[in-house]
Amino acid sequence: MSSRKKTLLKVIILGDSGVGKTSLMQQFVNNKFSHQYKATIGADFLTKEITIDNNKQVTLQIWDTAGQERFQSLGVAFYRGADCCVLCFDVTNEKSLNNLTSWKDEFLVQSNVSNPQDFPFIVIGNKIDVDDSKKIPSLQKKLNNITNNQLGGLNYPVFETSAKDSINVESAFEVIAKMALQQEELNAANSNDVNDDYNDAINIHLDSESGGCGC
Amino acid sequence: MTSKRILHSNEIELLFVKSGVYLHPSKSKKDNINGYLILYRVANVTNLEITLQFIPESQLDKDNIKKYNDIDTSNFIQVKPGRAFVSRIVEKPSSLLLSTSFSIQISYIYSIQFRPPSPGYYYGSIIINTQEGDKLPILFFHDDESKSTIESQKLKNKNFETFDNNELYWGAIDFLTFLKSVVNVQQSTIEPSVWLINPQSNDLRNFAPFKIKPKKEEESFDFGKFLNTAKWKVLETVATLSAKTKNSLTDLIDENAPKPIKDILYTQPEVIKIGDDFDSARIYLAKWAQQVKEEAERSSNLMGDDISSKIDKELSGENVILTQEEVNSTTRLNLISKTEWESYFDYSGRLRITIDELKSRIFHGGLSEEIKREGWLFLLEVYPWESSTEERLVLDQSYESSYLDLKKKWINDDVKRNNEFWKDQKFRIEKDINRTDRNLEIFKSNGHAEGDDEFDVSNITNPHLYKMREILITYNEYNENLGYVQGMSDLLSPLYVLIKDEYLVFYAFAHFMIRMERNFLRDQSGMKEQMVTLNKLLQFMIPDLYLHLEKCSSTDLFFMFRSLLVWFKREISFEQTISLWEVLFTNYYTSQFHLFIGLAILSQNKVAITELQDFSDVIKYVNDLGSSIKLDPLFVRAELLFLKFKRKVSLITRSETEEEFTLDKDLEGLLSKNLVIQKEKPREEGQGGG
Repeated sequence: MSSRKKTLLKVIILGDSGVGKTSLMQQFVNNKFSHQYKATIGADFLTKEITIDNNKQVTLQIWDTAGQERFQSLGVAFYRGADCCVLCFDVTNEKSLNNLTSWKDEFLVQSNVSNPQDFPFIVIGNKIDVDDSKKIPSLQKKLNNITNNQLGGLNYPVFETSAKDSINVESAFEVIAKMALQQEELNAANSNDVNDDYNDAINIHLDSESGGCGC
Repeated sequence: MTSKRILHSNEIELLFVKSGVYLHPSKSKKDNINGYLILYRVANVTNLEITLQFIPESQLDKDNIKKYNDIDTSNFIQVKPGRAFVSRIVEKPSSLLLSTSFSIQISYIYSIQFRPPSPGYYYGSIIINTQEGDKLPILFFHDDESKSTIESQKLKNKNFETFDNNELYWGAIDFLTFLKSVVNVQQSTIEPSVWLINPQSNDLRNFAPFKIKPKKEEESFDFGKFLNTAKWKVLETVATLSAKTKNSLTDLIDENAPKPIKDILYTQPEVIKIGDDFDSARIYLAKWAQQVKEEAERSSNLMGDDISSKIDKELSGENVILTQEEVNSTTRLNLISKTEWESYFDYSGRLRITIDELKSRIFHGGLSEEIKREGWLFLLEVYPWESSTEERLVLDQSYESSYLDLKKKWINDDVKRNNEFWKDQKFRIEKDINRTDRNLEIFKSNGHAEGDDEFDVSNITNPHLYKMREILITYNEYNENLGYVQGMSDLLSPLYVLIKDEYLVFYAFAHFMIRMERNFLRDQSGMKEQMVTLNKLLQFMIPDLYLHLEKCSSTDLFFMFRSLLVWFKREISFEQTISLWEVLFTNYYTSQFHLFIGLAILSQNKVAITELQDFSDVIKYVNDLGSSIKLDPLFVRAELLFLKFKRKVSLITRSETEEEFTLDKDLEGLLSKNLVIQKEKPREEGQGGG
């Protein structure tokens, strides 16, 4: 667990088709945007090296996935070993917001993570650049309702972003990286420690100050 | 059939006569030569020394014509008591060197291809291939002019047995039946229209339907020159497509047929290059042969050790690794030009060669730009292969009106349009249409200023994208169990780009979806099945690569998911996609040739893949293959792999003697040309389209 060690962090982006998963990844990794990214089929990933906190170098491996539900069953092939899961919705599409819970549940079923109770999730509402008139009415209320009640009341960090105008993308991924790193260290500790009775002790949460988004 | 008296030296015994047999030396009917196909023998010869001859009627006098006709119809003449049976003894036909007559001893015949009358070809014909690798002039059976054929047909009609074993009756069937009664005749397993005459065990093993003509010209037949005249050449190209063995690769390595491929390769210094940036064919095939050998040595995963070692022995021992025939059939031909394409259709626009011949030609060469549209409509069976131009025009109209009817169903139905499921599906379609192949010129324009209302996905102003939307919404109605699923817009766009007319594109797409439906099932079972089959195929064919993928936790072949779902469209360019799909549409060897393309990609990248360490490495590598894929060598490789696969399977099924080995069902299925069709179950109440 030396901080010098180069760490690979696996991040999975989930959410309904068309919410902007590919765009978020592309904006973060390559700083570019297009309206015309093709619908993702199967899965693909990009990697980016970043430095967080105390000069720790990590490599983020960001997995972009297909949004149509029937393709979820493939997740079992690549969710394995994930360190963080990003749940995305489109701020102009209420259905995509309502589906966050099932994306989370599906992820937990298929990834078989060791700590489903406190596995790090983060919520991203994308497309805030769009005209307010198009946005989900009383979004804040609905969002709180979902994060507090349906997503288990764990106060997942929430970011509102625009992949198009590059708003909040960088900061969201910074938080993602921190959360993923914690999870990775937890996993590493668990695998080192055969007798994992101090599993519960390491229940360190990222402080739920909902880094950076001010919502 | 035995002669009743001793034959004199100038006499022959006519064993078989068929009237109404023609040579067609040119496309013009007036050049046709009417004559008889006869089999005869002279005194004291064995059956193998029976002679086959084509003799023009013009070379016979009246007496002989009558005799020939009598023998032709002898089976139908009621022999009255007291009346002498038809005499089969006639005088020996004069010179055999006359330009339009030819003869050959049966023992010199290697094979005969029987091409029954087909919708595009009014007269059936046979092509005789000699032991020396020559082809004799094609003989056409004018069934409507042959007394015996007409009589026989009548009799069969009367007895309601027009179809014997599902075989269409035509003049040459009598000939084949007779041949079978005098010599050993075996149907070729590779090309069922071809019958091998008194085949040697080697011929049978190689399944080679044609003998390869040796390089050195031997003056073996009197009419060798006859064949080489220009007018025969024309006929030959049109009529013997499937027999096409002449191509650059063959010409260079066709020394002797059964020889291990690497020997041939090593003794031939100059084999053509396949593609610019690819190894020369020599190195390529040598590597391949080497690889095949290694693989064969290791293939044990799916078979018992004993059987597999037997097969390995067979594959790497004295026997050929690839038969000559296999190599011959694997060189890519040129694209079919408009002129060539048109020559395959008669004046009424009906196909005049067999469907298989045309498919073989498309499979091995592809269609040039200007005929792709029509070709695809045939390949996707929007137009029946046997239709005429006029029938196609009528069809066009009925397609157009039935498409409009389908469309009205959703356009005019307000209840449906307010249904949640329907709105979801429409939204899904529009979202995907807006991001389908937008890099293509045709789909680039938005038609309105950027930012106008770019978040309203229903606002599709590009006319072509709009038509694709209409097609997909209509399909969503048309196949309501399945509906629209992501990936379908990718399958539609090449069809749209080539065909353009909305209603025809719709039917082309709907037909394409018959075979692709299995890729989109809610429970993904169709995709899983294909991945499992590819997995087994990989174990069977390239076991060491499979073992490596096992180390990378990649044996689920998840990295092939995208390729299989939309037939490699995301890996290769749009133009390449069109060429590839055209090959896949033919179902020439198997309806699942896409799995062999997948296998070929893995095989081609084997060295690189062996360097990869884990799941994510593999998926990255395969996802990014893109521009490195060159189609022509890939097609050659996939075809070789298929033939190799088929051969391996036949070795297994032949070694039935001791151990029982039943070939895996999935692998067995790969030999079928029939589409694998899996339909979606009805959607449950309240179930979404996701």
